[in-house]
Amino acid sequence: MIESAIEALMIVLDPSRLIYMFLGIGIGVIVGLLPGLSGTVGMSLLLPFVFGLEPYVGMALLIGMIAVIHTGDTFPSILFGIPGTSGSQATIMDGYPLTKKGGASRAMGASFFSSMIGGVIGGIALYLTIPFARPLITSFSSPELFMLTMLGLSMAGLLAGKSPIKGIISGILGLLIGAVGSAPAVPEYRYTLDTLYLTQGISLPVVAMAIFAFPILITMLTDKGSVSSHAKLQSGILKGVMDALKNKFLVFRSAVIGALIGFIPGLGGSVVDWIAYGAGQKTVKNNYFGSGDIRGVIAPESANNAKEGGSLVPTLLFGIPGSGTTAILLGGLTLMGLEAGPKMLSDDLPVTLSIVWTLVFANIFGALLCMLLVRPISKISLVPGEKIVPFLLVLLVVGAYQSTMSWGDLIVFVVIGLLGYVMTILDWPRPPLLIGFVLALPAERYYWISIERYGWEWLTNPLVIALAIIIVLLLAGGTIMKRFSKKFESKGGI
Amino acid sequence: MNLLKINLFYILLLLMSAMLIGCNTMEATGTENDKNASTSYDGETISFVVPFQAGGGTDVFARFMTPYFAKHIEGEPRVQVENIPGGASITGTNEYANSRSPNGFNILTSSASSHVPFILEQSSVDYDLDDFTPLIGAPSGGIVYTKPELAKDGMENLLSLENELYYAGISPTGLDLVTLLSFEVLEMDVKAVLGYEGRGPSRVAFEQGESNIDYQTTSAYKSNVENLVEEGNAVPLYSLGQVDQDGNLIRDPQFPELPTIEEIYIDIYGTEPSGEAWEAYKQTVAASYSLNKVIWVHKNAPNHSKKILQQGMENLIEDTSFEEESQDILEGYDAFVGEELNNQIEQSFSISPDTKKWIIEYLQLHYDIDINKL
Repeated sequence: MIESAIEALMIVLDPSRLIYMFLGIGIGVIVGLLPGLSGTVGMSLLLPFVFGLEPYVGMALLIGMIAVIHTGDTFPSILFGIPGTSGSQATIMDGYPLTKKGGASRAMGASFFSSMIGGVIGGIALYLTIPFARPLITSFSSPELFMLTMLGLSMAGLLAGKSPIKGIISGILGLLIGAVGSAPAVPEYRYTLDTLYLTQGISLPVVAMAIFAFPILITMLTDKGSVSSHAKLQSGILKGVMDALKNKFLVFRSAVIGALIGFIPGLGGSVVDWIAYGAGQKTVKNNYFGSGDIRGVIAPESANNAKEGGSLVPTLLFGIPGSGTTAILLGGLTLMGLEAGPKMLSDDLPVTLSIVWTLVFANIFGALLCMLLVRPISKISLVPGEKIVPFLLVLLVVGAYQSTMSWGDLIVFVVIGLLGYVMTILDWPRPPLLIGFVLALPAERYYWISIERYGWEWLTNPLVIALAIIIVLLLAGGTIMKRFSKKFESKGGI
Repeated sequence: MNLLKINLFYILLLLMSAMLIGCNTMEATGTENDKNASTSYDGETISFVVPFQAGGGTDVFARFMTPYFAKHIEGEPRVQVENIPGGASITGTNEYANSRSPNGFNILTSSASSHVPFILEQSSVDYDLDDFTPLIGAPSGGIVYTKPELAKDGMENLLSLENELYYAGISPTGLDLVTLLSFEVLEMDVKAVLGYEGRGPSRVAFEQGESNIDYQTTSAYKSNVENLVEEGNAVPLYSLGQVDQDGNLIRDPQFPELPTIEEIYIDIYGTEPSGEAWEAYKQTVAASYSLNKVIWVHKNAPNHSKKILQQGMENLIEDTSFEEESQDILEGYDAFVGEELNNQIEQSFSISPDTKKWIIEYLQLHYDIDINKL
């Protein structure tokens, strides 16, 4: 396989194909940078041009774009606290506080470097898992997938902040919103208010934008003044890179988490940033996650780039898309005369390997390009809020409307946005709501299938029991640690 | 202080917004067409409504067709795909029927998921396929396969199994309906576990043993199941077949070696299959597979435009490069045009009231589905 890998490298480095990769990178960075536009939009934009292209060229274009979206989407997350795509929500938690303290450049330096390393690790993970993909993927049956969604949901508890009760209620609210639309397994529509629009459920980009961006816009208007309270921007890209280097194990751990979650079909990679963030919060000593800890930026950014490598495994080898982006990629493959399936490992192996290389190169060049853009773009954080809000609002509204091209999107955007604003005022954590929303459908689907297929027998699967133990440890560990820190705090208070 | 740069940023934002709005050219060209409803396609744009998300099977089919349309329709119009996803294709089809001008510059593609709700008259369906004129139609096929250990004692043994067969499906109103009805006709005891995300995940469920009888459509079967068959991990049982112009079930031309369920039924029960389940099966095969995808134009579009479009389709299937290139997209089947297409449409979409009633009751009884609520 090494020989073919080198052959594929030569194919990728052919100048006529490199141009397409750079084109893809450019588009990917812009799509990521504009809040509201995600990989799905980028793919739909490129798809018409892919038709009839040579597979290597088309793949350079598409994969080049996919690879760097989660690099470019960091800009709005860090500068405004508005997620650039739904994959960089967790970056807000610490990135935005850092910007407020004038550390935008440092945060971005750290994040781009982590993105680069994470993305490269994702590419390597794709290469390494190719021979084992089949047995690995078929080892997850519905009961195991159900337990994995439960593991994801228990992350909501970790991210709840000070009040676990508020976190749980927020998570349940997310599950409720996720239940809107047609039920996954029973022929039933829920809370559709007799509109055809709601039968498809509410789309993730709209919810993610609304719940985080809408409240920020209001705050920007009411607070006046610019985002960064410091008049001078510290130049700190290099400092950020050093931060990431210092935390190399965190970068690596998060990348592995990202690749693994991307790899598991049906779980949906949309929560990967939160899971990496939660895991980081658990494992990093002396952290102050949530109030401007650089490590809170590093963890999710490394994971969300690594995810793409992982999620290409089920997409290419099984034709099972893990996300909206990879679903369109499947269509792109057909248009270029390829078919996802085992043939991608035999006849079409060079294409698969060229994808690995493109993933690696695009991540490196994408991150470098973003670092060059830091200086001009971070000046935006000095612009007074009331001047920037109209532009952001236009972008967000177009982005929301783009998701299904229906007026319903705009109404949902405002309604969920107001909910988000109320939650900010009452100091309720919003991440659990998002996790609940994303996992509502898969959790219900796999629970239903498990019961329908196995009755209660599945509860005794060894993997199910192992996952259950991990969940209990995670939840109990959280409360024990919180109690411990409370004791510590109250002692300190006296 | 940095006024110049900030201004630059504003301009950049404006440009980006303009670019985004520019992406939305569809609507603009649509209204322009309304004004000058000319009958020539010279230099004009045809808006091609695809009621699915970009990248799906029907979308890929539509995008594959567009350059050939542009080439073969007199006047060489531009053809632009417009995706209107939602409601499993019903949203976009409704919109085409009710909000698009019938000026001959708006065409639509439908698929099995718009056909079956139409013949069953689901309440969300706000279109009438009889109000559209078909231009070109394409078939697809499906193959049912099982585990070798279950198949080794023959079909007869398979039919005698009780509580042992598991089928992983998506929803009983989609393409799964045809497969479920084939079990019904053969009186096979299969437990259908529904709710899987797609045919890919349900195939993985088969591979890991969560299900042990499954089906895939022709191209997915060829790319993902044939290797399982070679490895000895799957055995094909029958093809779902095709319904010909006379309403008979025939073997799938892509899999001439595989029997239809009619042949299996005769083999085992000694008589020809009959009754409402059999009629319902043939009806759904016709509407879901024999006409898997159809491209339409409004029936009340100008006659001249319809003629040009239909002539374009006839030229198109004569094109040898189309024949070669379309192997993957059309899964090796021949497309229908002209009289043949009209006969096939007649065959597929005119359902007898009894059969319709039987299907609705079948869904209600087995899957608790109230068709009036969908």
